[in-house]
Amino acid sequence: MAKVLFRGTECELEPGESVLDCLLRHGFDCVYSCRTGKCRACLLRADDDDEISPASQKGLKETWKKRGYFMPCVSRISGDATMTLRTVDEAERASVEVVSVERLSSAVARLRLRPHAELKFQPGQFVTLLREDNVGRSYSIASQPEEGYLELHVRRWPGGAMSPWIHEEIQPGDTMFLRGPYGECFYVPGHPERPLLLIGTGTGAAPLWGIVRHALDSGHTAPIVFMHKGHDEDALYLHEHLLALEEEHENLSYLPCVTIDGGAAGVNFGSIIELARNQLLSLPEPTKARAYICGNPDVVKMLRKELFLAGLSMRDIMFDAFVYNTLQKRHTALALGKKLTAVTS
Amino acid sequence: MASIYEQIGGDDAIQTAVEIFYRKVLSDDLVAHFFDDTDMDGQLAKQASFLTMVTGGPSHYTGKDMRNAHAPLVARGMTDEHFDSVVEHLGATLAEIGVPDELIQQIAQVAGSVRDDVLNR
Repeated sequence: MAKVLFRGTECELEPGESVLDCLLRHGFDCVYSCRTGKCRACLLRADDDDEISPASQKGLKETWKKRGYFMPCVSRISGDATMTLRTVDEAERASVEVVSVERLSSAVARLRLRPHAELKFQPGQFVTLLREDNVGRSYSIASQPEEGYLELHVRRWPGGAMSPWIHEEIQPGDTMFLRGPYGECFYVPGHPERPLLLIGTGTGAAPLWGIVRHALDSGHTAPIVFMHKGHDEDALYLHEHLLALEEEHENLSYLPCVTIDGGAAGVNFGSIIELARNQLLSLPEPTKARAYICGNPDVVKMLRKELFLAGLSMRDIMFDAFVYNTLQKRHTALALGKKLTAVTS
Repeated sequence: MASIYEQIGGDDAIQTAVEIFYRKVLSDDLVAHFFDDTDMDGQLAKQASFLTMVTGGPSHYTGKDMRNAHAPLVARGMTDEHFDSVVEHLGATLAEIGVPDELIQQIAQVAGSVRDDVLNR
């Protein structure tokens, strides 16, 4: 019987159960978010002697792997092994000060945070914001290092664990904590002649806003096409900003796209997949392009496949799928009262 | 004597070839549905393993692995026709990356030798 030892409690794993689910089932108040091994919110540390599956360390930097950091949400233990777990060192957390919280649209707020100590990052990477009650959520960085703050675009999800709090409660001057930065979805200078396709849905525009300005500031000369898909025109929360940026840079084209046609001029209507494919194929040398795809996981998958089939190498398609956790409430209920007799899924 | 895998350029060549191969099978109406997976990265990794194996590169597949892996596809109706089509795409891919004809024939032979395992016969 596989086991984990955490905070003095021995927990037996049910067959096929992830380490995270086991800890939650035993009532531990673990931080987690995406539950698919991407966002790093659930990071824990195993003992030096423990066997850690490669899948649960995928994407972590070498120093962390060596320290035994892993992602319990995708970690399963084979046979009768036991893992001895601890939370990650406090030293991995950075403290930040809230600079401002401003509405960009009815649903999206711009959060600016100033790290107390210098935090190195690439625009387009993401950080995990941590709250004192152990709720953690990941957000992509939309700012440039030179700006002196981290800018995150937070969509308010009604009933959400963190976004209503960010929208309504935090104040400039408040201290928050975060871990990161993580992720590979960022601009790498060196090929200013390669066209860029940036495609985002919803707040997927946040990392792309960081990436596009990074590219332009680095002197990117090839065409850059920024496609933003939203449900309706209100969802195009960077509309004015992108129009202004497009005015300033001849090689930048901004293509807004909505599902619900509100009749605004210059806004495309319909499938972002088709739009992206057409944009790629209308380039003089489509296979030289690099694509950045951020936002809705289903759209990210479809776009990766479409652009791959159209000739782009998977290595030239960077992406960041925003996975939202919908099971938090269920698991909180389980953790708070194992006496609960009915759990609706 | 270097394996074909080494002769064609080892893992780098495989990484290039696997994308060409995957595009071909995804664009072939006859076999696409066997390769169309929500997990593209997983699929590409499997195809890279397959290409590595048939070119004599480092591989740990047993006949039983091939049988088990393809059993669900056989259950969905995979036949010789599908198998032949995939081997053809393999040949076309290798030709596209400049592998000489004699080597392609050898590789096709290796691929052919796993037919019964793949088709669970």
